[in-house]
Amino acid sequence: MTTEPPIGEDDLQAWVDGRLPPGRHGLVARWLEEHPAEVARLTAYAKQAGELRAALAPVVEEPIPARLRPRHVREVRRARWAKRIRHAAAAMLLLGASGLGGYVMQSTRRTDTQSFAEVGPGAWPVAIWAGGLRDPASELSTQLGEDVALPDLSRHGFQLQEAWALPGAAILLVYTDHTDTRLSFFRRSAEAGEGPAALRCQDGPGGWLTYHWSDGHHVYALSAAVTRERLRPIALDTEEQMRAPPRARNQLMARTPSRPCLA
Amino acid sequence: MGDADSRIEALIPQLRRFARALARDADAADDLVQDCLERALGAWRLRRAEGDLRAWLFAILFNLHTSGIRRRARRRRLLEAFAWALPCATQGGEGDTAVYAGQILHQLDSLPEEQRAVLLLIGVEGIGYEEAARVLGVPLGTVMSRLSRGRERLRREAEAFPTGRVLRLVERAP
Repeated sequence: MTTEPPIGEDDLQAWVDGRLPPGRHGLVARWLEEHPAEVARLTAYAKQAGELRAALAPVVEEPIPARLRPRHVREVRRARWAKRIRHAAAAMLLLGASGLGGYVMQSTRRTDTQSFAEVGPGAWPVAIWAGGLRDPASELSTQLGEDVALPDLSRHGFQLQEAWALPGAAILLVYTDHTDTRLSFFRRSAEAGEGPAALRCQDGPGGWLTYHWSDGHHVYALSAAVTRERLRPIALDTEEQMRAPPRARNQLMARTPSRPCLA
Repeated sequence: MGDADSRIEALIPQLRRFARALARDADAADDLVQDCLERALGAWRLRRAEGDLRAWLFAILFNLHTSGIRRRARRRRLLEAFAWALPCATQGGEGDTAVYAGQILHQLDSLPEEQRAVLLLIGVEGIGYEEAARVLGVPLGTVMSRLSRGRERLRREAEAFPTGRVLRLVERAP
């Protein structure tokens, strides 16, 4: 018994909460017998806890508001992301890739108040690839949890520069040609009621031209500050490429020879 | 996800109680719970151990509370803080108990946020010391000292405003 550590404040708190280890109980009880003032203090603590429980008891008995059901919370989340994707799409269509770059930076900065762990993957735009060694298609597929194929625009002189995963399984790809002309490819899931749509052209501010279409599953947009004559064949080709099953397309892309570095 | 839903749903009453004690206003507290669930569902795959779901959810809720998300909205509604406590008194026919119930919560409000959380987690939610430490992201010793200091401070508050003395510090919103 002499080896038992002396009574501490943590023992006394544990006594209040009924969380004393069994071996400690007798010791604390004996100590308290000799210190009646402490018993009064600890009893007051226990009474406090009881009062708090009583004051808050009605809350647990209340029916749960419908809006707190996980099913509804998930719907709210989905709607919010859908809105963000529309904003991302609008930003891209209006401002082009550089504008969206700004949007991406802004969104990323907003995580200051919430840790990434809290928010989870796919919540914010994530840069997947920017000319690294890894395969952008498989990186994106991992991030989005589905087989993703990327348009191969090399025959039009455009090489992939950046790949982004946006909220809600949307994708943004940025290509450039040898004159550093930027071309953006955007893909998001089609929303309910959005059927297939034929290729359409749209003029944006700053000379940006956007072709967009939908296959019923995804909505696509291709955007660049180039002439209609130049972008149209690229858009047609991209539409064609997106029609093939993803695996076949990735093999196609893998077959294109990588350029040796001559520098 | 159905399994996740039912496991989360089972904890909602407890989360609401914790949130209510922290935020005091019923709507603001449910906003807090909703925010918490949104974060949790979004990060579902990132949570750690299976058995830690409660600690994880409480941690998210507490972090949201302290990080002051929707704090402004809560402040705005704070004037109605006691409104929720009073009806349950009328139902029970014990007016004094209701005022008293409001009183202990009001006294709790005078405590620093971290002490308040410890008292609620351990005294009301029945969460163990180690789990409380995980929820609050502090060492066990810190939890114990906050518990001890918080309880003592609340006891002093109660002595200064003994039972039966009606507090009317909060006015109804116009």
